[in-house]
Amino acid sequence: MKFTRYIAIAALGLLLAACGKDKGPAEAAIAAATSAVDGVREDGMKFAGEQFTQLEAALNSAKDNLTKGEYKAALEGAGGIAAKAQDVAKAAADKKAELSASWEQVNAGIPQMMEGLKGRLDILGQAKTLPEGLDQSKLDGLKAGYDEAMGMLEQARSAAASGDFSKAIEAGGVIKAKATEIASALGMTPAQ
Amino acid sequence: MSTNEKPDEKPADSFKFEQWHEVVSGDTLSKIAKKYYGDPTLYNKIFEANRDQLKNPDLIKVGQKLRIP
Repeated sequence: MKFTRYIAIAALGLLLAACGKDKGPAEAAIAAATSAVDGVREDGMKFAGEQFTQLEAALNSAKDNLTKGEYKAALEGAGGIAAKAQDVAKAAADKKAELSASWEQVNAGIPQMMEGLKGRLDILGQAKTLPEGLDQSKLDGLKAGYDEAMGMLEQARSAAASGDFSKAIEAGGVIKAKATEIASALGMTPAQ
Repeated sequence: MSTNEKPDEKPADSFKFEQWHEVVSGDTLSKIAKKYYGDPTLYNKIFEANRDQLKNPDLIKVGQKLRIP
């Protein structure tokens, strides 16, 4: 009876030792995985949101396994995260470059567009009488619309400067629509 | 405001707005300025915008397509 008891205690000791043996490597792997995820967090969230969410879910799952003492599962889960983090980094970099290029095109085009409108508004501002279909009140409204569009351009540029290219591009679309409205009221149309 | 008469087709550039006027018999730059600006004395704006084809503000030809700035 005593002998059996000793065998059981020894077996338990071996089991605990085996489990404990995996704890250190699991903790190290989790730490490395956490660092990899943190390294891609900012751009990953902005430019590859879905992929980043999956990456973070995988990390949290590995952490849960560590907490529950399932060191082998934690180690396995953490093992692939660094490579996935690199994939997220690449996807984010590609998307950022794409959006940045789109914004550059918008940012280059809007001043050209607004210049033409400003030119016409300035000329009409010098006119002693206004053309048929346009009165002072309407002209003042168009000038206010122009100023509003220019204000929005500054906001769009700020958004782009902070990396929010999607917001900047969206604002560019609104500015273009506003400018088209003003142009139409002035009898101007997009260049052919 | 009047409808827009466009010149021969150029590559699309959707970021610019413009207006063109095709000269008809009886037109002068002053009349054209009156039409688009309400003020005939602003004819020089049209002349300056079309210096590539106008040497003299009093000499415009039927059929010329003038950019209205």
